[in-house]
Amino acid sequence: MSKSGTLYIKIRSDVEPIRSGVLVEVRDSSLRLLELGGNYSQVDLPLGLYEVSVVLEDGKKYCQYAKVEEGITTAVTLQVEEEALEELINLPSVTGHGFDDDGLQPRSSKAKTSVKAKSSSAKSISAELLEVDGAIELYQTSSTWHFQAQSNAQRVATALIRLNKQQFLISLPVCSTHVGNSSCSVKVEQQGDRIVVNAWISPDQYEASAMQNMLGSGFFLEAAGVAENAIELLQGKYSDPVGAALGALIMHKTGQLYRRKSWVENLAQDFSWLPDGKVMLVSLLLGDESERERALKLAVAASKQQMLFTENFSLLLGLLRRWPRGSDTEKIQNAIEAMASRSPFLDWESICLSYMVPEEE
Amino acid sequence: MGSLIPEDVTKPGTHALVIGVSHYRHLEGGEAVTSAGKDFAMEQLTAAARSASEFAAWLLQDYKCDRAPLKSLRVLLSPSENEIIHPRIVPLLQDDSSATLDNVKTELLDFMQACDSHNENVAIVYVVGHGVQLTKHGAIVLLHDVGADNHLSILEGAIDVAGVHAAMNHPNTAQTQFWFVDACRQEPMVARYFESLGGALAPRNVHKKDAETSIFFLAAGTGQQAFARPNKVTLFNEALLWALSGSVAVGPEDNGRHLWHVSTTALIKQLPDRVKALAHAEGARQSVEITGKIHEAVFHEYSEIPTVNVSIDLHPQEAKDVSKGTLVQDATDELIVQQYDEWPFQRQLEAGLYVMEIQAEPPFRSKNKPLSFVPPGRNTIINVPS
Repeated sequence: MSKSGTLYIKIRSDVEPIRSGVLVEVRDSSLRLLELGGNYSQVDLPLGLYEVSVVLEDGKKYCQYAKVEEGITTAVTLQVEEEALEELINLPSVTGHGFDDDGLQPRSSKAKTSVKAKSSSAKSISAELLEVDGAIELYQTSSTWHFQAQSNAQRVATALIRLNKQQFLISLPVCSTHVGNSSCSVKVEQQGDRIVVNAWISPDQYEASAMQNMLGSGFFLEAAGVAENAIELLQGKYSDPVGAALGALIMHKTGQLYRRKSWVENLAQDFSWLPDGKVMLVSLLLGDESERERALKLAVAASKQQMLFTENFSLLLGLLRRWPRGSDTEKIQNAIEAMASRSPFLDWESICLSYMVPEEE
Repeated sequence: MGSLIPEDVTKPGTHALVIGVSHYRHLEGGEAVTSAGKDFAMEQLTAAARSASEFAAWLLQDYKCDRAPLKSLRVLLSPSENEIIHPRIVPLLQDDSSATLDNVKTELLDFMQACDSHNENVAIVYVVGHGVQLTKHGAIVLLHDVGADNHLSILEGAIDVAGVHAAMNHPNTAQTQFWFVDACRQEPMVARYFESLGGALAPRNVHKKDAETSIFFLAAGTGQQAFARPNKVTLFNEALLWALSGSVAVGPEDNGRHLWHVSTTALIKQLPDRVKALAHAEGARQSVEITGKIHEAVFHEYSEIPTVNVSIDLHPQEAKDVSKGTLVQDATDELIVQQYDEWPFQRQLEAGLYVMEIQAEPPFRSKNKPLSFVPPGRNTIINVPS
């Protein structure tokens, strides 16, 4: 019998699906990904060095190494760390004439990865909050505004922000019916030579914030793991419809939403102020000819509302463009034109809908 | 035109469609400029066709997928004058292989039929040229003869790649699909003109269920500077081939993936960052949208364990003079180097986990440091404690 030891994995996280370990990866010293057989906290393994990693709620992947020794339980703890990792990983300098490939290890980060410019200097950013609708400004730090949902809001909250000479309208991921605090932050960030405005769900909304951070970092499948396992969030959408809508979007991206059709029905009907639920339901109904008329009504209604998530705006516009023949062409075309007038100005990389308001508006 | 290799649909395999358009017959600079073509206000390109040919050549020469080997490769190219097409592809292009609307219709139909032959098939689509990004989910890519006088609508000579993707997203075709759209995107005020127009080529099919994996990468740089290096390849093509050369390879898995491979998640994580970095170095901006049905899948496999360029240095500077390192590969117990002291240590090593034992003299303390070397390689700085 080969010798073995035990690896004990502890995940410190406020997000239950993450804490349960379903996102944990264990690789042996050949970097082979091991099948844990559903046991994510304590595993018997052959002797040797192992790499244990997990994507945590801040959207970063954390990694620890453990030496498994005979008859010994080796503990590994993974948690969000505020300080820089001990090992410094250099980002490459990408020259203008090809790449000296000494390694590219992008760090996952809460916002989209910032690319360091070789020679550009930071632009000065003049940012001003012009209007808020459906939310209340709580406070402001140097480059961030914090908002809370306004009571009895009947539509997606928005903030109009001026950045230098341009104005941006951004949807705010808050909800007045959320039990407890529903807040968010809007950050002005410089990404290379580009200034962007992003809205982030409050970290206090553990599951929703984790999903958004993972989505923003490109960990789609991990975000889906949180969505699929955040049963309370999904079933209790009344406590966090924004989080539920984000979970629905993530499950749509990974092809899992069709299993929750009745839940999506409720999301669309009970929160009609949130058009994203309608879009999710349209995506499920469109393939059924008997439901097409209802799907069109939902699609047209959603097209007239302020969408919360960029991807749902994109999804709806695409569905309308490819709507099956035989439906009300004029209604579809009107809906397309209404949305299409904004789409060239959208920031497609922003998770929450954000677009530049053209000067003529 | 047909497949560049003998097509085989008797068994599951990979079927690929590659389209690259640099030369636009009816746009400004083309040999038959029309008034409709002028309205597009777009220039000829210099890198799209070459980029498509580079990807096609990679498929021919390097693509490896044991469960679904390459069974057909359809390539349509419209290169600009003096644009260099990959020499492996040139002799295979026969008859009219230009990326006209009619040719694309023919090849697309045949490609879709080939993909429908087995659910275990893998479908790969790569389209590059002038485009209008309409949404996160897709773009209209203009074909060689867009703007022709006999076209009934302005976008008749364009392909709605998102629409084609949607038409192929169903359970009765290749269940693993990879879509790459590399578009030279237009400025918002130009794009606005196209937003509500119809007429681009796209099969109209609506399905109840999706394919298992149908991931869609849309690279869109605004303006030519963000799109490609002049007379070379596009930035997205450069990033993609960098990734496929081994730079994003991940280790084997217990679930049956026995080889090092390029996975969906590896492409998702690394491709956008690489494209951004390349564009930024050109003083431009390019984004990569990732949509479609995202599911873990293998895009490409490697026969051997990849090697990585490793560089290990110590911090602080004073520690280097009094520290010696011994590096061991854990999987094989192979001693890589012993008592090394000429920091930094640099070598090409097999991917895997290693242990660096640092023997340091006072005031510094010795330590053992586990290290993970994965493609594309890394620079590591080890803090030597005092």
